[in-house]
Amino acid sequence: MRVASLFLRSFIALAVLAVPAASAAAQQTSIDALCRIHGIGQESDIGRIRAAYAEALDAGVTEGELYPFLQDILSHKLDCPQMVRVLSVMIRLRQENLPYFVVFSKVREGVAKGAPPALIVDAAESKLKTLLKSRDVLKSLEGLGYRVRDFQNAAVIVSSYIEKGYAPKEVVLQVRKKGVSGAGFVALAGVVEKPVKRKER
Amino acid sequence: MKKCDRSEDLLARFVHGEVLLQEKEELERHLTDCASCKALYWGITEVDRTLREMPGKLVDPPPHLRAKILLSLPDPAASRRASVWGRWAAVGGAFACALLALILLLRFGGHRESRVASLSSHQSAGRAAPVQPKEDGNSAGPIATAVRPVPAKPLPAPAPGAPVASAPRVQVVREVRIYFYCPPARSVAVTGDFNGWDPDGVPLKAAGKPGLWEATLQLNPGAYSYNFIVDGNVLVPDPDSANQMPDGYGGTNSILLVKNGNSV
Repeated sequence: MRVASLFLRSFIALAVLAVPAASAAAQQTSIDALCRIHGIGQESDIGRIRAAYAEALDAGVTEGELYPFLQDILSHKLDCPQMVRVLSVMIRLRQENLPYFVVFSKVREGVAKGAPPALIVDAAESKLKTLLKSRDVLKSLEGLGYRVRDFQNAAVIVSSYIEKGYAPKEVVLQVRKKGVSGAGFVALAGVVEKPVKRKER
Repeated sequence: MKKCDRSEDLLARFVHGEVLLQEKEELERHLTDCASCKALYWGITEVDRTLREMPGKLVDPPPHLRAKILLSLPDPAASRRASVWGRWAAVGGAFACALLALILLLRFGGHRESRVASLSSHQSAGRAAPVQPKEDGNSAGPIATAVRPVPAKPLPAPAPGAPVASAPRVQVVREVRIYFYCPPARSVAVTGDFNGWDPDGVPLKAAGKPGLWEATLQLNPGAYSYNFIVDGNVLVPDPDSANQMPDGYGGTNSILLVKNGNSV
């Protein structure tokens, strides 16, 4: 009985110890191999990409999304500093609780359109800036008493207005003056609700 | 004259898809009144169309250039080999790690076991069972320590490229039918934010009328950038979309707004 118990405990301990170790080793090996296949051979560069990758995972980006994304952008010949910049954008967005997969989409758009790597990185960073401005717009609206039902989706919608040429202050001002629908922000009307008017006594 | 200057500026931005909706309406009003601006508009459109239809994009590269490009590509067999060896190395490492853990556990586990056995033998041979909880308590220690460093898994995120609206909240999926009129096209697909800019896109099928293509998309409410893929390699914005925007890569995206109530 004791032998069976010992065997069972050993088996559980093995599983617990082996799974993370195997996963970490496999991840490290695959990232290294991926970098080398795509022409990033210097150990310091690989180390930087590996560290940024691990940081992105720690920030909460899932490996199921991140690994194929890394494959796609490496195949598009982004160099080490460019890779690290793209991953930093995602880490920042995840930390700010903003929709990081918008960056996946923007970068993949650049890849699909055959854009130069430098332009792709610029577009990703520009997306980060726009989303940060969107967050400020939504915070201002919340400060005015508006309820933002789906913050991430709302941030994307506001960012599309900002990219179209609206200044963040203008969006807040228009919504304040005319309301969400009245100001013509049709898409935003679904995710930002009017403040409830308080009854005066 | 000033109005024409303003319209020329708008026209230049319109061609690049950089005008706001109200500016587009203003331009259209002006074009109905001003013959010279209208002629300029048609001229620019004609040049744009001619450039798009130029066969240059379809010409095969010269054989020496093609050979040079193919030679510079990484060998897929080598990469596969590297990947397989990498995996085996990882499995080997994990196995060694596990073996080490097993040896350590057997060593220290055995020590505890003998201690427990000796304690029980001092008390009574039939009292092994009450000692069992203490033994379990000890064994839980290293397991808990081993579990702690594993990073907590985040909440399941939507698939890459999926619209933001599909985040944990349950949303009503809308059916959006899109059309594209392009008689010379042999094949048309649509790609955009909704499918992570898949290079193959969602294929459009002939809509019955010659040159008209259609597809139906299932989308959550939100704003989506998209382009049509003509003949598998040329990305073009939707000419009928009222919302166009520079894509940041020197081209233009069309914007599809899917509202909660109905699709636009």
